[in-house]
Amino acid sequence: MTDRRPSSFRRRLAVVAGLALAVTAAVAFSRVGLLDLPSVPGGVTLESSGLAHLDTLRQLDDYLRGRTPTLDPRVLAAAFPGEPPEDARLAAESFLRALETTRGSSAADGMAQLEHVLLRHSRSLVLGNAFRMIVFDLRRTHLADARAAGSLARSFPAHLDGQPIALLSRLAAEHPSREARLNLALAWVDEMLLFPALEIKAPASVEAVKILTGLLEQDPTYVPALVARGLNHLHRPARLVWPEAKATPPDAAARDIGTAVAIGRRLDLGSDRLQATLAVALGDAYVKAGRLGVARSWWQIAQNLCHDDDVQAAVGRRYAWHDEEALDELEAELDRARAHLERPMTDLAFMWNGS
Amino acid sequence: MLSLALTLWTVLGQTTFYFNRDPLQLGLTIGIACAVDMVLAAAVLRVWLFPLSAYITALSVGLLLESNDWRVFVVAPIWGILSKYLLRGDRQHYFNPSNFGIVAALLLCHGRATIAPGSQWGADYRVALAIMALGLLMMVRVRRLDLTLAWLGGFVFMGLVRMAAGQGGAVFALGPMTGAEFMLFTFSMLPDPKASPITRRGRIAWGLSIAVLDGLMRLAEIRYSMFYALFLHTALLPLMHYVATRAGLREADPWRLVVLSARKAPAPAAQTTGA
Repeated sequence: MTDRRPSSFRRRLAVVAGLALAVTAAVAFSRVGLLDLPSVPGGVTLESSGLAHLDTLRQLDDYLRGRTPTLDPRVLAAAFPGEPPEDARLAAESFLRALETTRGSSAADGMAQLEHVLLRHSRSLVLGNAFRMIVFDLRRTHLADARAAGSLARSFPAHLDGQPIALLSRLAAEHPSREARLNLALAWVDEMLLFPALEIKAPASVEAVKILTGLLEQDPTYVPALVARGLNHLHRPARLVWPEAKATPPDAAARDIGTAVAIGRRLDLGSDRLQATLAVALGDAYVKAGRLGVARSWWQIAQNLCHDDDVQAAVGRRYAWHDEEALDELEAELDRARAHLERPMTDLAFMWNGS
Repeated sequence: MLSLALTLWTVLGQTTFYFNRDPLQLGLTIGIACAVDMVLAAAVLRVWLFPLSAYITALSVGLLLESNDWRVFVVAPIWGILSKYLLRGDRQHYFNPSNFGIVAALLLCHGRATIAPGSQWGADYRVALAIMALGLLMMVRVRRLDLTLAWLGGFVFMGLVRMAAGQGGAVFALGPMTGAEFMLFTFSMLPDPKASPITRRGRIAWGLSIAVLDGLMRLAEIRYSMFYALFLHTALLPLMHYVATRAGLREADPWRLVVLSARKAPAPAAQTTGA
């Protein structure tokens, strides 16, 4: 009897401990699961996510940037859906020539040619992105030249004035495809990057979020729009008091970027580098939401996903942040990211190139 | 054995597993720790020693600490080694020197010292599992498997509690277990024979208690919690020894002694031999 007591006690203790562990595990996994990501909206497909044919988008982008001399017909078919191959080839070639003209002899003529091609191929995300990027570059150069000459005026030559928002607004109104609307929203973000003064940045951000919200109401699984809206929320100064801030919960960025990551995981898409970039952004978004532990966990995931020096350095910098200074450090880091005007963060090439 | 394992760990980490530690930083901590240990041993204990323990301390500190300020890698190992000589009872030190050096650096070099990002083997769970298995085998050799398993079990349980409380997903709560920071802590700092109980029950209670405190600190979003949890536990050792002495008990197992003295056990109590 005396011998059996300890063993019976131990057995009961083990059963109680096992039960407690099982119940806690069941509650834990049913509540948050593996990554505690937002649930993926129903009916998500490769096409609806906007992540189909990333490789063909990359090849078209490489062609427009002069990295490859020719285009495979299969690339054209995927990059210009629903268009005859010959039309697609001509469009890509005309756009490339227009880009060269814009960069070279006559920017105004080049812009007119770009506009012409873009209006006929409004659904091409790559063309719209290339148009935004060349306009961004020309405006940036113009501003830098004006600054060097001691001028503070914001006047641009006629072909750049009001661009790319003017053309993309027209495009989105005449051909309201999700690609055109996404590029229009990003054009407002470009405005924020070029003119970081609050009186321009704030309304531009509000406008971009309005367009993206409208887009996501129709197409809730469109990943580029989710990422763009999430980054917009992320880059808004946390301590700024403005009317729109009241309607934006602190975890808005984490929800949008988290949903984008969840869709990417569901469809098993994106390069390691793209996934790492999004994991870093999601970690940053959790800093804004005040969940520093979860933020570090996402940075660690990014560190594991991609061993490129810049990703490792970005994670290393973030790990050095102390809790009480993390939000300020994050805002300083985001300020630096926005100031990289040679490689603007709105360049969608990061989607297909992963960087 | 631990020094060999740590050396292999460091070499593999630097060549294969993306530890990305600055070799100068590692060299500095090793040089400083070994030199200070030899000088103090000669001055205080009147012996010339081969500084194996200081080497282990230095590797842990050099691998775990991150700073842009080289002075951190000078003072952290010095503090760790000094704790061995200055904060001790008759026969043994109270703190694990690596843990002391790291916690002191985190607290006293605030803003300059952090812990390096924790998961350096590229999300390859097989590497993490292999290291965990080798670490547990090593714990069998050093007779600290019970302590380690209690800590691991407690950590998993507290991780599940944090998940159930909605703090984050499994990767967030349990993922740290696959990282270098956790492995170094579990297989190098925690089982320090001189800074842990000597009986099986004491070790199990010690491991579980550290895990619970760590889990509670993690719930409160306190960073570096496991280092602090171990530090606070070992900081209680002098108090336990004091209670034991006042109760007229011979030092054996602090946990057992505290319980016995609370029950006003007649002195002198029998000394336990440990398990």
